[in-house]
Amino acid sequence: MKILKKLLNKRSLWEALAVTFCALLAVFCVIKQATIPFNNEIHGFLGTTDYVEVKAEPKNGEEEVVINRPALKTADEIEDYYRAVNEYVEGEGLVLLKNDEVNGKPALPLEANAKVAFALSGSGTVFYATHGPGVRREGTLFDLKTALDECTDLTLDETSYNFVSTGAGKTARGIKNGTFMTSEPSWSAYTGAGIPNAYRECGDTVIAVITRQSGEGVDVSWKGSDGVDGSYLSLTANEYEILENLATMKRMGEIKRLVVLINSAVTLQCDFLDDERFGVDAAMWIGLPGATGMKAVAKALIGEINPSGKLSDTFLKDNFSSPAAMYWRVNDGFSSSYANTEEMGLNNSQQYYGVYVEGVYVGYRYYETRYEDYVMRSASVGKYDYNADVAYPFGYGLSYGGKNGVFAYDNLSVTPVKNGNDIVSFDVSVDVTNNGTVKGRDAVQLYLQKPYGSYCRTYGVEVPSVELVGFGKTKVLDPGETQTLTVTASGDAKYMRVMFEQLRVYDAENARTYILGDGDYYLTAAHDSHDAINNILAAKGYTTANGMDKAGNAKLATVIHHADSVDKKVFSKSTAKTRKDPTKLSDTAIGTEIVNQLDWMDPNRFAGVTNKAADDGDVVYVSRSNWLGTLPTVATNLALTNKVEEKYDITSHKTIVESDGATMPTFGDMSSDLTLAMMAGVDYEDDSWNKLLDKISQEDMFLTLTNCYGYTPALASVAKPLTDEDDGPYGVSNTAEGFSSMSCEGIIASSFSVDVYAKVGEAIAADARSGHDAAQKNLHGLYAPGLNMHRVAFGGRAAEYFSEDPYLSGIAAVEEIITMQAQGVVAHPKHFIFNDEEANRNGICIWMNEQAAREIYLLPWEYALRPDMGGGHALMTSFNRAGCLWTSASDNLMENILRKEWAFDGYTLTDMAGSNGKLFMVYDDGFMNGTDLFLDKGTTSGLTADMRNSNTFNTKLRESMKRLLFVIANYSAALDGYSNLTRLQPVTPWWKALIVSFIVIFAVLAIACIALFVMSIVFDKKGLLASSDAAQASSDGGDAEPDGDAARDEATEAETPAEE
Amino acid sequence: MENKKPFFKRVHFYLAAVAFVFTIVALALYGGNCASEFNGGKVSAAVIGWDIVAIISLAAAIAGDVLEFFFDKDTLVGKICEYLRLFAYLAFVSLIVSFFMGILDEYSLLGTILYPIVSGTVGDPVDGTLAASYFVGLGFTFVSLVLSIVSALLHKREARLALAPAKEEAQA
Repeated sequence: MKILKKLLNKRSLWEALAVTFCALLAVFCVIKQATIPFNNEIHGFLGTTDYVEVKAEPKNGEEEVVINRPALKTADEIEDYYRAVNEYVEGEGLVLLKNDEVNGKPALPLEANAKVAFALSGSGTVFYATHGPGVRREGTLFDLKTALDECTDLTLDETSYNFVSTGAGKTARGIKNGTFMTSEPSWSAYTGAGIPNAYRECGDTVIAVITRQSGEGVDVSWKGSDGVDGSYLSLTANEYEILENLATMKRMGEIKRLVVLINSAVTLQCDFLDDERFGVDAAMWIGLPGATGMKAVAKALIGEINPSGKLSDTFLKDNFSSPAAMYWRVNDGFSSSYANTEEMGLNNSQQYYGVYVEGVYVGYRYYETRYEDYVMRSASVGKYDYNADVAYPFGYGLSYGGKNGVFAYDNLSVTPVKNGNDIVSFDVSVDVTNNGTVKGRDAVQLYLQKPYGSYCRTYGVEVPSVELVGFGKTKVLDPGETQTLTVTASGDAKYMRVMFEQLRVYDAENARTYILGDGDYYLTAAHDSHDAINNILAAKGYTTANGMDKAGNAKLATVIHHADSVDKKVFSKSTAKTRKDPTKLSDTAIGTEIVNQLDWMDPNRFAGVTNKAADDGDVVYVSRSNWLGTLPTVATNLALTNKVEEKYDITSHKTIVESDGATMPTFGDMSSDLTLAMMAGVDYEDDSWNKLLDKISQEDMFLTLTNCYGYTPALASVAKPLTDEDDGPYGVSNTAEGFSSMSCEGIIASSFSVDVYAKVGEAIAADARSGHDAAQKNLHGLYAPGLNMHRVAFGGRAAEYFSEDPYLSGIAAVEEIITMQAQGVVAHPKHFIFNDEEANRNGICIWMNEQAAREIYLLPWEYALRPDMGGGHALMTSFNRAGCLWTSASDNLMENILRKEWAFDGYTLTDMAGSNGKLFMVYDDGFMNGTDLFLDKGTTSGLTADMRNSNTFNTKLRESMKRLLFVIANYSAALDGYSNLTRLQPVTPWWKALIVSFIVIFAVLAIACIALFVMSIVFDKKGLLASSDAAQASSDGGDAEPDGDAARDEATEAETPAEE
Repeated sequence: MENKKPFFKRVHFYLAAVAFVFTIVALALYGGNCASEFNGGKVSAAVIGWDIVAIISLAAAIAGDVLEFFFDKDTLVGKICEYLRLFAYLAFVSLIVSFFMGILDEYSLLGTILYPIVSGTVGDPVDGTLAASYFVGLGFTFVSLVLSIVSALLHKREARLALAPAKEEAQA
């Protein structure tokens, strides 16, 4: 009693402690809550796991079979190897745009003892990679001067370098108030620092590097920037002024030559390179070179590397001259708000839309087609000056050794390959001769012209004049050497073959499938897209007298096929083949009927949207049958209507429609001994998959599929290990050393080299496997490559995507994915699909016709994912919508096209559903329509009663789980070292135990203190603690609690005898 | 009426009042402006719930202060008022939970704002009103939780000081 009284007399203490412990309890409860979504990140940081691998005892003489999927390079080997590949890729991809003569010799390569000075801030600060998916860390990078120092004997001017790298010539480039700004200093900064004198002292070569940034989340500024016309991709007045003054110095003999390097993934407007005012002697596009790519640039400047890259995009004199960019201008940007946004109550993720009015006329497909129509005097073509729009055509690129076009082509030969009476492909060969004075390589490009006959005109089937359908790159040819470039099974001539299927065009209006148009099919071997159309025009009998800007070579164009009538059946079934055995392909095409799938994203075929800017409510798509009448001159003004079924409207959380005969799958039946490692090589349709899936509980399945934020969680019930993935279209994003940035995808594509594409895949996968992730993780998947299109110059993420051409993008992806996945690194190409711009990407509705969707935007994906081509086992979907539907919530895209037409055998993963767009990137719509994994941090609260109880939803959920497990079992390095005896035993990591312990301790203490506090009040009121108040009051004479307690204790002791 | 120090001359009263107002402002900003694509169009029930608990608790504590002035300590109301000050503690704990849950439940929004800063990318622009409301609301919640505990501690101290002369008188 005495002790109790003593305790109860410390009421003030109990009050303080009760509050303290309650506060700590609250904090630890929140911490425990936080560990659920960030479980894997904490494990990664602390090096713990939720399970341990154990070996089970073999049963009945069972033999252990270990899965062996080794990494290509160890952590010690990777750095040198990766840097070498980066340099090789840049060297093969950089494009020599211009190389005029200076004093009777080409400006490049520089002489071994040349002196070099530097101009423009880019020559001091290179833009190596976009910041998110690529990597930029100081200390491991080669800028221009470092590279020149290491790779050449050139004499480098320190004064001008210091000026542009750290002095007044360094720019504060970047985004200011949402607008990209170059902020290049003016010439007066140069004169103020005495830089012209440095140039005079150098007296030889000035290298000016023009740099443009770009990146994720926002498109490059097309207005409001400091470019002379407001575009960030035009030169600024200061840049013009600097070049002009350098030209003046050159004319006065103070310097000899001016070399421009273009350091940008987005296509700079090249209206200045041939303008005599600026005196540019040589120019090279180096893209974003990655960590070590500048070494290749340095070697190219001195001729150690002979440039052989060909442009993967058309370089323009007017970046607003393409139909898509014309629409940007008339529409004041890419995206618009629906006319009835307020009336419909549309939120931020619903109100924006973009229309691809140009249809298939993207990039060179527009310029070359309009040019041909102009030469052929087609109706309504108008006056057209190709050379006013185009600076350098798609596929263009010079080499050293001659003034122009050192490589000559001859003896074009096309051999149809048949299977019975059916043509399967056309094998192409052509002689390539190096007529230059130095050895080098060349990329031959094969272009096809399909007929644009009356059927196509009638039914709105658009046919570009030329389309890239194949290419090959020669070996290194000595001067005078000839190589017959013909198709080979592998290597750089692998695609000197045109598949018969490439003759197809999509007719969404009449046949509602792919057709073979009637007329002649021309094939040409050409140096670039413009060379191609000139060859074909020459073969048709046209000359410069007809308005051609250059005579073509008729011998390099030939009719490879002729169709008397339109064939609507020959391409109406899918030719994709399934992968029955993970190591082999089936011989049989799946034969799925191909029919319109995307009517609901074409405003002219969908009742759910109308164009208020047109009397008939339709959108005007560009057509070559009426150029002047269809090129964009006014913006659309779309409004949503209510005339549409729920499946295609803009709402989310669609009603879950039960399928006939769907039953609730079995969950949590652990009667089977099967584990994931035992399923390697097991056919997808084998019943043992069902037994494996039966073991997983519904909640485990849901949580596994909705917690894929850079990983897929471990699942002990089936011994599924955790898999780690990371971002990185052109290099792993988060490495500890920071050497992971490869050259940007545009440079990779411009190599036109299968070997380069394969090496890129091999290198970034080896890097992923080597444990060089920032957390020293061995990655099993990469969110790569990027496969969206360079639709206009202003797309923010151009560095992550290959090209404006779908074929080139597709082939680059195919080769990269094959080598990547050969190391057990699952490729996740992104972003499926129509995510070609960044503006309002969270939910923006993309509208286009199905022909453009299939022939331009879906084609690279088809190549990358078909098991008989790239065989990608996963993909990442996009933030945007197709029509009104989030792309991941469209079974037409995610099931019918992806799996039924293309035979895609992998899983699909969303983009960051956790960080963006939870309003529309929702579980029910995704799982119900073919989305398998969510890049999110899901909790069981996301599994609503509707989902939990739906037979159909749970069947879909289980199918998604099966797809994930199938990919891991058969292809992922995550199972490297696992065997049929490997089991996962759940454990509680120390930090989770610690948190729970704290919660229990603080809860007990809080309850105890509250109890004591309440008891002290009750006892006091009953007079059982006489004088306690006095004691307490006396304790309040000072702040020091112990003194007060002591006084109270004395008071208690004094009264105790009386009480007793 | 006893010789009491009026509530409007007591510092803790004003601190609690300010905390009360700040919590209401925080709740209004968060509940009114922060439903977005980052949280599925629904603000966090935990944040709203604990904010409401805090507001009620602070109201109770403030009411106790005010009523204590008008009622004798020996009356039932007076006795109840004596213990209403404890609600400031409850407000403090509620605001702690609200503050941290406000961060945890909105990691999507925070991630979107912080990602471009951390990664150096340009990132997705977040609606200004949304971002401002979220951060200001979070700031108000934090200030409220500090004010509520300071208010509670000051009140406790005053209560103990007030007891001393009363007891001495009783003992005499």
